[in-house]
Amino acid sequence: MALTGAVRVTDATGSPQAPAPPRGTKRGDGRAASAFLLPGAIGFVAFTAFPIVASLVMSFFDWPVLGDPSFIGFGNFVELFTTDPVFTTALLNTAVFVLLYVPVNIVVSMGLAVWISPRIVGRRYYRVLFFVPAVTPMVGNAVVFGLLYTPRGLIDSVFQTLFGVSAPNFLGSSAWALPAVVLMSVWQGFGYNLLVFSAALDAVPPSLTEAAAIDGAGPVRQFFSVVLPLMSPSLFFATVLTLISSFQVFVQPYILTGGGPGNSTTTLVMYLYQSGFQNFRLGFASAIAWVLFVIIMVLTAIQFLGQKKWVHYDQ
Amino acid sequence: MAPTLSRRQLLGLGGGAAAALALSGCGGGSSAGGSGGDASSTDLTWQMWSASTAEVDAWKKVADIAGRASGSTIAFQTAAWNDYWTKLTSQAASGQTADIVSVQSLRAPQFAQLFTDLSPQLADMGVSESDFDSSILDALKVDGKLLALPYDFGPLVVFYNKTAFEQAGLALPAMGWTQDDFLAAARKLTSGNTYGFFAGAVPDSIIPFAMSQHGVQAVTSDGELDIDTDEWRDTLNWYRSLVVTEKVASPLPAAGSQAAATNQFLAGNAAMNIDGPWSLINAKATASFEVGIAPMPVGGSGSKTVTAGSGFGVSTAAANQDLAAKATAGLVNVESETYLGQSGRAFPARTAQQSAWYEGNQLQDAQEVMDAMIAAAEGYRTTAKWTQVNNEWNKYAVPCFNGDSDVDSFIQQVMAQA
Repeated sequence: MALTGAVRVTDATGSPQAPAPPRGTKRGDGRAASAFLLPGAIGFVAFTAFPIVASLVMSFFDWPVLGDPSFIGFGNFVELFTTDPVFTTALLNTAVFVLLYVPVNIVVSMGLAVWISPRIVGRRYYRVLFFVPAVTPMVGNAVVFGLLYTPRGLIDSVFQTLFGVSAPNFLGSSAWALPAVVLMSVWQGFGYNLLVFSAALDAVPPSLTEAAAIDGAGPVRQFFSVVLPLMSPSLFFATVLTLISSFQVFVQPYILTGGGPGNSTTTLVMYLYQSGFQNFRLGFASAIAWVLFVIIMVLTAIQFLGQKKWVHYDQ
Repeated sequence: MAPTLSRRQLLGLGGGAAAALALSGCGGGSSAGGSGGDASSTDLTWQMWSASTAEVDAWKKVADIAGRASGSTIAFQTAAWNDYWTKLTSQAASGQTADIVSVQSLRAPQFAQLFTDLSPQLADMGVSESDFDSSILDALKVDGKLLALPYDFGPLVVFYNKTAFEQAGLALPAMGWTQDDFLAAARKLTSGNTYGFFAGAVPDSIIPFAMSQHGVQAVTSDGELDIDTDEWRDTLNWYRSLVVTEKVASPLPAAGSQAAATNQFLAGNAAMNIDGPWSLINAKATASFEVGIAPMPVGGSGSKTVTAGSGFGVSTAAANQDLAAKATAGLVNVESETYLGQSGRAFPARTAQQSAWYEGNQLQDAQEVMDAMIAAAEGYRTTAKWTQVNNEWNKYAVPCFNGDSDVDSFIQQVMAQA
């Protein structure tokens, strides 16, 4: 109403250039805006909102690929947490993967970012080099790592040449398979966080570290007391995204181990895929997806609550 | 006034056009995925897996032959082997398969509901069951329903590295060679990083041994999965000992590597391997050594094996069932099968056309072994949950055969899928 009043005032002043536009723009923008939003909205509804709702609905059904679905209430969820032996293993494997992968990824990418942060020769080339694994297709990387890990592969040959003994059968041994998958994932994933940390390090004003140096702080103290707090928003961002993506790990075990040996590398998403597309239990697979969603949501919420304690946004 | 209005109109039009585009985009996508039932009445679709452009060309040629024979136009759709089953699954879920669907005999029970029973229409289709190998025809029947007409099949046999056998001064495996001969050869062929045999983690690598030792398959003739038997325990322990105690087979590299056996054999790292005739031409062309095939070594039950193969069936979703059935018959008619056999694409399921495979590919020396093993074979029986069984088998065979766990826990895990 206030705006309409203003329009009238403008009209009254008799400004010839802008009589109708404000009022007209208001109405017209509404229509035009909805027209512009429509394609995106259709896409969102068709490819995001509908599948999300559909999967929630499906999780309450026994929904085979062939044949008719039947409503079973919380049956799928009850089965997951009580009788299904694989789900607990998958949950545990995923937790171990996350606990190994996230810290190692952060430490490696942070370490390398700090290493290339001084004006060392060829710094830009290192950045590109370290980023290459992150932009190459993960399937390709996994296939190559599969060849490296296999008995008589490169790693085994190096072991035999150097030490005269065979390397462990990385992907064929229940003890080694998951660490081997983590190692490959870190190699694949650290480049992205390295770029984030590298940019954050560059944004730290040199005057602050210089001041700390004058006050007698050594390089280690400077890093932990000055640089790291200033980088905390980037660190928070990287941790949240890495955690979410690591809970969704699928391609690495799918290509490298097929979830085996036994179920030693079956992760939640791997199990979801097997349930839905190999065992044809779409409702059960949807239930796994929702459990995973809740886990990720809760952990992310905890991270957001926790950030107040250690993330500093004002410099 | 006028410029403002036209700008507004322009904006509206632009937005509207974008929305229309998006809508039509969606519409196009969904109709392209349809079964083609709404197209003109002689148009059919056929989905089949393939691994190379040469294969696609061959299948398109078969589609032309079948089109001419049935008066239809067959559009060929394809995907790689693994993706094919995922795609078929999701299409089946939405009821949108092609008119003619290809299926492997091992997966027939799993996809049975997708297919029309062809048995009542065989006469109309001009097909006589007796023209086809009976074991593969049986393997494509589920509960008395004939789901598909077979185009290829083959018995699982022993592939061996002829060059390595000759270099080691070993007699080539011939008809009637025994499991003792097999083990002796495997021992002699194992040295350093080369092994006598590749112990695959898939059921296909072991079932022929269980057949030869005890005459049992993993699935009983009643269609039940049953490896919790003394016979199977014996075969599995024997097979495991090849890796663990005899050390004539390399430790298994990883679960999920079905191609591992073929690759290790072709690379010359394993001198013997279990495989089927569908791999023979490629193996001969790829290997840097001479490839031979041998019958299954004679065990307690003789030299026995199983046959597997694939075929084409009519989808229950096909709009024109009669035409689709006629076209399916065309895909496996004499001309198609002769072409597939001669070009080495398939060992024909039509018995009279099998000679085209031997003659067209200089494989006459394989005929004795093939004939004997086909005669000694049963159709490879599976269950509706075979993909699950296969997966669990694959995953738990690795620790079992590597010596990390025992045969009993392997049996228990696989039987949990029964």
